[in-house]
Amino acid sequence: MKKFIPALFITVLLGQQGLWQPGTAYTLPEGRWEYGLFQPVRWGQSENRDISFYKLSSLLMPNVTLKQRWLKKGEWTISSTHALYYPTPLLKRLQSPLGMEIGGPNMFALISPEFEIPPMVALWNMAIFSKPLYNEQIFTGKAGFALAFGGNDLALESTIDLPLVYHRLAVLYNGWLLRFGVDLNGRMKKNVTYLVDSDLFLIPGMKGNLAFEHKGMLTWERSPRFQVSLGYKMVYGIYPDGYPNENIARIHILPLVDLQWARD
Amino acid sequence: MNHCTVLYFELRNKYRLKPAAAITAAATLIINGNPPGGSWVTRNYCNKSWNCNKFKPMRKGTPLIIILTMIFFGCEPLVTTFDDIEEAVLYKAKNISGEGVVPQNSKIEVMAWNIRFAIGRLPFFGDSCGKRTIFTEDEVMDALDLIAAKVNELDPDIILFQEIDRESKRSAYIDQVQWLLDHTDLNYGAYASMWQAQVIPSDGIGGIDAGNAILSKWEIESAERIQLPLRGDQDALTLLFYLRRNVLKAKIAIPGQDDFYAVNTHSTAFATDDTKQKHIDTFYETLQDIDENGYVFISGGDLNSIPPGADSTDFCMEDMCSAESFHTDADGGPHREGSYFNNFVNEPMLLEPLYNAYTPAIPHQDAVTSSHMTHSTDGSAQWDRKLDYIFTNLSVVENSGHTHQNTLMLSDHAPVTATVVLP
Repeated sequence: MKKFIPALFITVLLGQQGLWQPGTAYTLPEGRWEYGLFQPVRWGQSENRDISFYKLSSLLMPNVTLKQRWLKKGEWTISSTHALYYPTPLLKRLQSPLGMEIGGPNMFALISPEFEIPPMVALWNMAIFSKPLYNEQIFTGKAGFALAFGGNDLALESTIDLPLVYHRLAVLYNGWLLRFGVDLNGRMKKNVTYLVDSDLFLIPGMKGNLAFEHKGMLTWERSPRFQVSLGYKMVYGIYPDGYPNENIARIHILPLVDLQWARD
Repeated sequence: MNHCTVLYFELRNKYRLKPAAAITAAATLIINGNPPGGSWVTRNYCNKSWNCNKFKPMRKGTPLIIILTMIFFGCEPLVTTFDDIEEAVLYKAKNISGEGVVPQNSKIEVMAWNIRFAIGRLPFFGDSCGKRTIFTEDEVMDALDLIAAKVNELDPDIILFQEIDRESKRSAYIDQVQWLLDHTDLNYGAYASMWQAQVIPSDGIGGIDAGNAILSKWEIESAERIQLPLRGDQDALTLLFYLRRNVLKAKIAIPGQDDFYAVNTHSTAFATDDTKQKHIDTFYETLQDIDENGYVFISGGDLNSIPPGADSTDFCMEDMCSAESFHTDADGGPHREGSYFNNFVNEPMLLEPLYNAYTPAIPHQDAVTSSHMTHSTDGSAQWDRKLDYIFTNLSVVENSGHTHQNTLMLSDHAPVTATVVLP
């Protein structure tokens, strides 16, 4: 019990400072960097603001996310995130992934080269609420919307109808979408944490107008500066269909793995 | 009820647990059993009236196996592969009309038609020097309307369709088998996919399900999909995402006929090795098997083979796209895939056994004439080769075989029809 109380205190403290918890309302401590193989690079720009970006996709899809903590009252912390994406170069690359200079220029193309990809930007905005629960758990609720500009001339037939991809890019075709989510972060053992989350994407007015995503993840914290995560993602999505149905529902379960590092 | 359900109700009724708590407690006990020392569930809820020990714990690792099974088998495969013989997918029209009608004068009208997944002559990248992959719903619906109109005009009793799509991004995910059943007088269908994948990572093709279908006015009792050999001239990665062609064999319940079969196939178009020989052999053996059992059949499809004695075996120049060049080597090569019909010994005579053994819709001497050509890659030109056939072990009414060449803009293949006399 004597060991337990300090561990709990440190965990809650670190948790509320948002260490390794990008999905919560907590921001990183000033000056701390976190980065993973697949997770974005995060930087604590000040005590109540962090900035992040996806490094791999940044090469073809410049993006930046700002998380601002607005309120910390009692156990409640309220923040907002604002993310800006410029997906045009990535979508163009997906029309000819190997480049036109290599033989078979359309090999691995996920979007037909016949479509014109216009300059577009997408802006995602989320309000995030986090509250510690008993037993070292943190509950987070999210609600937000995304807007896209410049996609008016984008052909509806150019969608990539795959899990995770279709509903995230849908904002470019539809102009807007809504997103809601809940996360539960917790600790199973001294150096093993878990994350269970769910997200709902709603795209009113478009075929394939809903996706529900659920993630379960276990993380082994080897040190405050390195951790390994393993889990799964389940995606229940409504996708476009033709006669006799307008839509079709599909479920996919995908494995997740990530390595993350940090420095202060 | 399984013991999980029994346990759930026991926990709900005896211990007045709320549903969520009962589910959690039941799951914990089922997975962990009653381990030494007890879990929080056993400590709180096991007592003399409820023997927790009756729940055998799962073996260590069982939950992990369940999770892994969900991950790897819980969802559709990226690419669908097939057994050598599988049941075909059966269909039924929304409204059944004229079911059970006895064929007039014991004759039935049969049609074979490659409908090019209902894009008419639009410039598809794969077969006509086109640059398009994905077609709009309006474009596909327009073509389907024209195809249905032609079917309704000719009023066949049984149709052998090739290149018919369902759940394909390129054709707006329209289930063309169901649509054609719902918009013609055909009542029943059987479908066998030759290309099925959640995504084809090339040219933006995306999700696809394309294949052969048999549509009939009479009920299809059973249907099987017979796998044809895969191409032997492709690398492993291409082969994984490439077509898996088939022979579709359906038993049709025509009133007064005990054992009537329809057999449909679409042989390889682009193989440069002897894969086509294997496809025609399998098709022929399927017909032979039916015939030797004393049953009757109508058969056909897009055999991607020219009739024996055809004027030309080389259509490379006719099919050539801009920036392509052929016949530049000393030996006359290279040749365009799909346009050259002399890739291996005896390829020009590939259909001779079929002509020798069975009755064709179009007699051999007519099949080599221009009025029975069924294919061209260029919609602005005329039909220039015959690739589509109907054969039967019954007799064909004299002069009833027709090649409907007035369908030039409906597909890159013309439909062939014939009137077959039932025994």
